[in-house]
Amino acid sequence: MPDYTAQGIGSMTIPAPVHPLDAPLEQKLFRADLGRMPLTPPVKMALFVLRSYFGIMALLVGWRLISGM
Amino acid sequence: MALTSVQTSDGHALPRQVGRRKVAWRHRLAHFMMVAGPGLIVMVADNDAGAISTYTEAGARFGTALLWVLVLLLPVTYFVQEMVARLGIATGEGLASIIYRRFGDWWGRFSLAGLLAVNFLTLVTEFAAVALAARQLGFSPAVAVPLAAIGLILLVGTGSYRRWERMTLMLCGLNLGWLVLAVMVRPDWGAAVVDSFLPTMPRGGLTGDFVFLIVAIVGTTIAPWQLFFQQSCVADKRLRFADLKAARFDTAIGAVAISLFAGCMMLLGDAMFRGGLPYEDPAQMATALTPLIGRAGRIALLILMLNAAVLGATAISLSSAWAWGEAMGWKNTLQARLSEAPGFYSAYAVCTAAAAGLTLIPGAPLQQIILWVQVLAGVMLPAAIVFLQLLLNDREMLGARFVNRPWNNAVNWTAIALLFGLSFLLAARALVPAWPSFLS
Repeated sequence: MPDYTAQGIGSMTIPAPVHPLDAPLEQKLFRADLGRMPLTPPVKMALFVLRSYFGIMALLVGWRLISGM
Repeated sequence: MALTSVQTSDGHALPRQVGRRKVAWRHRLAHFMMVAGPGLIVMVADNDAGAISTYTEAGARFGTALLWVLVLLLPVTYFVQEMVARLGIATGEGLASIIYRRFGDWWGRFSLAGLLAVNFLTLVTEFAAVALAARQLGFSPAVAVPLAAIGLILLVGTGSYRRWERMTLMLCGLNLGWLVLAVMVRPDWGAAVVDSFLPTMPRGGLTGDFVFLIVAIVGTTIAPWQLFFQQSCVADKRLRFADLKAARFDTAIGAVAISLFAGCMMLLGDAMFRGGLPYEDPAQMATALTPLIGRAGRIALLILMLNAAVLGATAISLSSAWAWGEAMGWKNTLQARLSEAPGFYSAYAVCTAAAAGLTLIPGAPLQQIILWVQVLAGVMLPAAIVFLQLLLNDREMLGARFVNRPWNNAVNWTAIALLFGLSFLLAARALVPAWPSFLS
């Protein structure tokens, strides 16, 4: 692994950059035990809009198939 | 202790004030060079074969009248892609994986199936462009398409993320050729600048074709695979929290690059418009513009078309393979050898080979495939982008540091509403061509 702590004169040290793939693994914020997202009103609303949108798209696809592609 | 000089990592001592600034600048640049890649690649790869076709057609039919759309899309593209970069850095996970875990299996499977379907059909169009450009260059598509597929598989199979990124960035660099070609067709720079910042009406007024070309440009510029690709790429590159600023800059440069190259493509189309030349496709355009750009320019244009298709194909196949691997829980990193991640590499190879094979079938229904690409993209983009927005407001997962700020949300919900409407229009137009009659 390359040296990524450059030595400075006096008390100043300037860290030299290191490629992310050469750096030690960082603890990320995502945890496997988080589970499902809480269904707060904004989440419920967003999912409802998505379902409605897909419903309309499904109707259009159905229309296209019935009218003969 | 008094500080009199600053020593750089390569051993040089510089006076304190000058040194601090110089070293800081040099280190920031070196840091950026290490972090840059995912943002630039996703943006430049988005100017794929379909995009070239859309932008040149827009220029050929309406001159420079639609350049403002590209300028308007620049911040939208940046804000959308910045969100995936931020989410990838904060979580170290791909978007498919997080949708599965935070929204459950149903939404996870739905997103994955939609993404894989639209990606596969888009891949077919990339290989169709490879066939078209190869034929114009005097090569048999039966040879060029399998060669391109093999090259694409070899590109990722080196077991090194860095090698793949370097080679892909080189392909991205070839896109600078669009700037040269745009200068060669001697555009009306004054009109181009004015039309870039002032929306103007085309000569024929506001027609259905004009509106849907705008919709098609938006659909081309922001595609579902981009969201999945950049987040997985950021996670695979293992970008750290401290890399966020550089990753944002990388994304911003990519957003400027995509608009600039797209603008050049539109200027090439505009040369057809000004010359009153009929437009069929980019390959025919290359031939029609030969008197202006010369034989070398024609070949360069066809090579750029080929390059765009190859670049698009590698990014799209990778976004499928990463997403599939995340959903299956496979090891899915370009750092792994073939034997260490067989599922991931097989998914990539199967996508690539199947799409290439389908292109070579005589009488393959390419028009139907293009139609379904538009429909599926119209379904997938709003879904992916809504999940993204919800995830970036997920304080339980991201804490206060990485969640959207109120102004982020205001900008993003506005962009989402716009994309919802335009995606719907594009899909509806593809499914019911006579609709909406009031615009035709």
